[in-house]
Amino acid sequence: MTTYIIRRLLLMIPTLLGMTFMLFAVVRFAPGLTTSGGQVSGGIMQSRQAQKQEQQIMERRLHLVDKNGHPINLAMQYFLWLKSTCEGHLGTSLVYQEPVLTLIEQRLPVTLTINAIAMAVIYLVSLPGGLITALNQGRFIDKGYGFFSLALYSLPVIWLGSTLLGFFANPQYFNWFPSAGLHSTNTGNMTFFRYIADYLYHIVLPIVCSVYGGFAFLSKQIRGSILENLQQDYVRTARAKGLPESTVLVRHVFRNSLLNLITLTGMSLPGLLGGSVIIEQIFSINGMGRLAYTSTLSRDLPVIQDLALVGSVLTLLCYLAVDICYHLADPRVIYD
Amino acid sequence: MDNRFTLKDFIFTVLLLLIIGAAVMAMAQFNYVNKQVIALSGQIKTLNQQQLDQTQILQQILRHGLKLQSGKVRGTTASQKDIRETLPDGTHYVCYPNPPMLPHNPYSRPDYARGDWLVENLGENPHTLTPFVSRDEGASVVQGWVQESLLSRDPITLKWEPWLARSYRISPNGLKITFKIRRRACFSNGHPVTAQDVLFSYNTMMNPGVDDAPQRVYFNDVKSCRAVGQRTVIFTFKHPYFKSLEVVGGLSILPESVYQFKKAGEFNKRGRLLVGSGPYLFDKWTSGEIVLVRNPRYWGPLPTFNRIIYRFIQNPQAALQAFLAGQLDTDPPEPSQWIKYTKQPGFAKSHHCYKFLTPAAGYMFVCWNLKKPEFKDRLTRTALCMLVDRNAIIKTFLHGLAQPMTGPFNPLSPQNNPKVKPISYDPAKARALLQRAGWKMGTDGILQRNGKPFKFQILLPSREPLIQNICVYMKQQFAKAGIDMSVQPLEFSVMIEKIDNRQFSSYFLGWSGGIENDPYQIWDSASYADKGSNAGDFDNAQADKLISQGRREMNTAKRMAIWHKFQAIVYRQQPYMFLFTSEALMFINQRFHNTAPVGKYGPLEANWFVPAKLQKYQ
Amino acid sequence: MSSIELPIRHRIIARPRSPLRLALDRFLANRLAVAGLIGMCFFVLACYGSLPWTLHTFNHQDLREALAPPSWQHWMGTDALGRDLLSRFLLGGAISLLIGIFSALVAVGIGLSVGLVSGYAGGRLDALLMRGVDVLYGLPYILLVILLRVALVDRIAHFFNATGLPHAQGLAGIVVLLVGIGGVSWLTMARVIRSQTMSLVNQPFVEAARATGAKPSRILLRHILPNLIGSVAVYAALTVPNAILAESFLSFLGLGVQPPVPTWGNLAASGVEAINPIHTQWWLITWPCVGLTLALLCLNFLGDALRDALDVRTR
Repeated sequence: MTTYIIRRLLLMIPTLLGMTFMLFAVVRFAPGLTTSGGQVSGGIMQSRQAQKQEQQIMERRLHLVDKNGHPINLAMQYFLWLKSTCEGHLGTSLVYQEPVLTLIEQRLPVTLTINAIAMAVIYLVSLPGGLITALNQGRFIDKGYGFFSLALYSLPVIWLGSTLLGFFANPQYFNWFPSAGLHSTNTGNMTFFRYIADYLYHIVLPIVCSVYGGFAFLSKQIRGSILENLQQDYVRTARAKGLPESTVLVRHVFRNSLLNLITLTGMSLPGLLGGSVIIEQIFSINGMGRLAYTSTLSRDLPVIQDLALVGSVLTLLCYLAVDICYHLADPRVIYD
Repeated sequence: MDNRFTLKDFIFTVLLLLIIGAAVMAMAQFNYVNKQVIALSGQIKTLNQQQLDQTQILQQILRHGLKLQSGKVRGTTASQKDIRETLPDGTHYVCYPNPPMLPHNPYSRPDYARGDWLVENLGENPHTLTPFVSRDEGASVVQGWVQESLLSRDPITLKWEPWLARSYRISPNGLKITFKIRRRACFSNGHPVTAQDVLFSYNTMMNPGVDDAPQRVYFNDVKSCRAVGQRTVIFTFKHPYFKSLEVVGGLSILPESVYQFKKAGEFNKRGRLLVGSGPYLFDKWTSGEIVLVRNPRYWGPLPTFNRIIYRFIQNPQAALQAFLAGQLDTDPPEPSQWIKYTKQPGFAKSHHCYKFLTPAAGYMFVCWNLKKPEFKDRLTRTALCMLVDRNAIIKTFLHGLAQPMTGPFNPLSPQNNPKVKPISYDPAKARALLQRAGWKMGTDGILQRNGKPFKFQILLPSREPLIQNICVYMKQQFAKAGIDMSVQPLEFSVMIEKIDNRQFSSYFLGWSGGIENDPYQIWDSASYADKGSNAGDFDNAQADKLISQGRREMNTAKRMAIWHKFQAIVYRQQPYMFLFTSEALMFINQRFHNTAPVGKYGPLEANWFVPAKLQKYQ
Repeated sequence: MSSIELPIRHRIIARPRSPLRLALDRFLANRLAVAGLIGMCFFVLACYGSLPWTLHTFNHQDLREALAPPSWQHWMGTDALGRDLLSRFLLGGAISLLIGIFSALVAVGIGLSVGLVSGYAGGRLDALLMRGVDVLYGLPYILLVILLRVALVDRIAHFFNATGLPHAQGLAGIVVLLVGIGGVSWLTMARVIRSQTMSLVNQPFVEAARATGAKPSRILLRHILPNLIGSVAVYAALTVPNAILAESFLSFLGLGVQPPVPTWGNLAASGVEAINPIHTQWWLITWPCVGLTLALLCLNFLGDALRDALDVRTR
């Protein structure tokens, strides 16, 4: 097993190299590189007298030119970036003038909380949902649940999000939820638990928006995997042995079906870090999604590159973790 | 051994998780209490410091024999009268022994009370708060409460008045400005504002390593800055320039004791350091809000609000709803929201609603590339302007909440020439003009001149629905006259690159405004070269001459006459299709009093107050 | 449990039928799927059947009738420029469906070929291709779409202009968008196809074919591909609604097809601004969103039923 893990880790290196190379290539050939966008709002331009100077600074900071202003060739640029990344230096944002790590630190907690709660809710609904629909295959409850979850999945989040905001956070209809932000204004004199409660109250609507579309896929997967297991020989054996139906279902079928979930869950873990731009946009949340989106629009290269890098490293690690977990959970699966 | 994961195991795991969770919560609670203890000890420290300050003040009073008048400290030795005069030798001298009070200030109102908070929306989270380095609008709003400059502009007369400076003196040739700093002006850390600090601020601004290129260019004409003694600063200039006073007088003064740095890179990266002499202290900046608290040592009149909080709500609809729910105290509505809500009976009664034009507002335009054969002649450009009904645009897309422009100057600015009349919407006349300019209708229904059809592309920034709608409308208007305009939305940075490289026929954008603009940047023929802002290559000898005259003219009245002439020429030439400038709109919570717009600046937050009965926050 | 036993017994009694026929039966037995199919046919007929009319009227402005509510003259009301919303809705639907279908085709084309080659060849080539897929998974998707747009729109528009097509700008935007969406959604497809190919390659019938000296291309096309049709169909059917959703998502961010060309996505995005409780212009957001939801619902029912019908596991 150890050699397997080491081999997998070594295999990650070429993948990551390819990844950095692609990123670098894609980003470098993007037009509008040194004209920092994003300075505009409502189509109004700021004074551009200083643009040339600005551009020179940008070129130096992006390591497009060396200290004496001579251009550096592309291969060298790539090498320099790779070198500093390998040494553990993530870049410094051109727009925020702060290290990318700090930016991630500021934005990650919100995104992570919303995603983690949303995921928990999705699992809490989908696990029993999948089980019940599988056991009642073809009956009304199966069809109804399938219809309903698919219907939810088909609702565009833009519509539902803005409608929720317009009706449930609006003093002229139902002023049940705050329309923006993550905290009330005077959190200073709240107790800790009050503070947490205030926070949770503020993220209800965003969580609803990130939850409702997730049931269909997961329930369907669980349903399918339970149905598959029900037809296996060991179930027949267990029944033949005279085990009570509940034991057969819970101890044999359900647990074996959960095996398939390991892959699904593992693959969705890296997604916890990326926020949904649309939900963050609608509910004015400063999360990872907006960070990635605005830095793409303003060509904030260090941020784009490092976010993508962190994301792909995590993805690869999660794949590895999934395989290891699979082995642990089901010793029949052996890798070599 | 049974290697299986049984229900018991499950329960144990859950229990374990619960215990760990509880431990984490307990730790967090402890942490929180700890934080409060730290905050409390910080408060005790400030209290001690305040006591120290008070003793110092008392000692000073005893030593110098100052006396207290109506809650404000006033020196008895200096003359009390404000002076604004031009000496016989041409020196312009302005001296205000006391800082100028804002017009309509609330301090004498019977129900005036200090206290309460002001919660406003900043829209986007600012990128950085470092003075000089920050570029977004939001950062400058926050900095405006914390940092001050030598001069401030009067909201009614729009003239520059001494603020941190007690007086300023402009030499007759306009090449030397001398500031004397107010004796009692001090930073929030207790240090007095000295000439050394001004020099430091200037040097920081000019440091090539500091990331402030867009602001630094304005100081290119400054030859030197000298500190004489504790309180006198002398700026000298290379050329006389009408904006000299504004440039150096508007420089934010940073305390050297706080901001000193060895390498310029250090200064750039301190995005959360904001200290100055202003009425508010920068307290904290979280992912949801920026908090400013009252500066207890403020040298001027003590500010009204205990706190000013800026939240970041990007979605305008959400912001309006937060305002209606009382979570925000002000909201600048979109034109459509304004129309909907002010129509509603009762809304206007239960909220303050203001709409006003400010001279500092920018304007929208379409720039023609005069290098292209189709836009070379004035007649064609004028005809294009006549084909577009600007009043209909304002009425339909902006709900009437905008003013048409008649040139590059804001209608409220003294630069604007009221005699220039807008070209009226007149498609028939436009067709005649196009014919006179040599355009003939081709067989395919498109105008032609010298065998070339009248086809061009307009660039516009994507993600701007208003601009897109207007362009689509213009496309139709032009199509009726046989002109084929194709609409090309581009991402902003790509659009700017195209404009810089002059790869365009026309583009739609806006310029941000100022109270008195220097037309050189956009209109002088020299600004075409080197990716300058005169992208359309407006080249008019007469206009160039007027620009250079105006820039050198220090006398306001004479200079305005020059700008008026200049504007008439530009509007006649039509290098841009000048469209409109939007009105500013504002909703304010009813509990604030004295919110009426002051002069041409609109409502001034510094004037607002909440009577004791209505106060909402402690 | 009887409910589980029943279908098995039923199958034994029934006379043997071809798998395709079985799948078709199961598909038709699913009432939702049939409803989805009918709904989709309706949408396609309405959107594409009305093209001759909508292509002329979608951009016809009349400022005097701006923001008129639904009436006999304008069934769905008008927008801020006084354009008839019905014709924009229909044309928008046509374009959205076009984007969905063609992105799915692009995705299936790339995913199928990469997956087949990778799964059949194995070894180095397989490792290389799969690492490539991993690499692409890591790239930020919005970045790719933005960059593709920035880099390509102008050139494609130029090309269209040269060929004399009308609305070259809008067409170029649509082409780039469908290439962009298709170009990022083939990755999962490639993985699925690869693993299925790998398992098929070791089956006796493939070995038999190889033993008879069949060329690899022939084995792939004649023996392996037909066995993959089911998954391809399911995957394609599920990619269409995802691509339509992706289009609306990009439009909301202002990165989709640019006005004046309508799509359901950008109609909805411009309607979102109109969500405003008093004197609301509800028709601006409701119609495109209802259209979008219903179409997605139909497509999802279709795809879901297709998966159920072809999937051996959930039979």
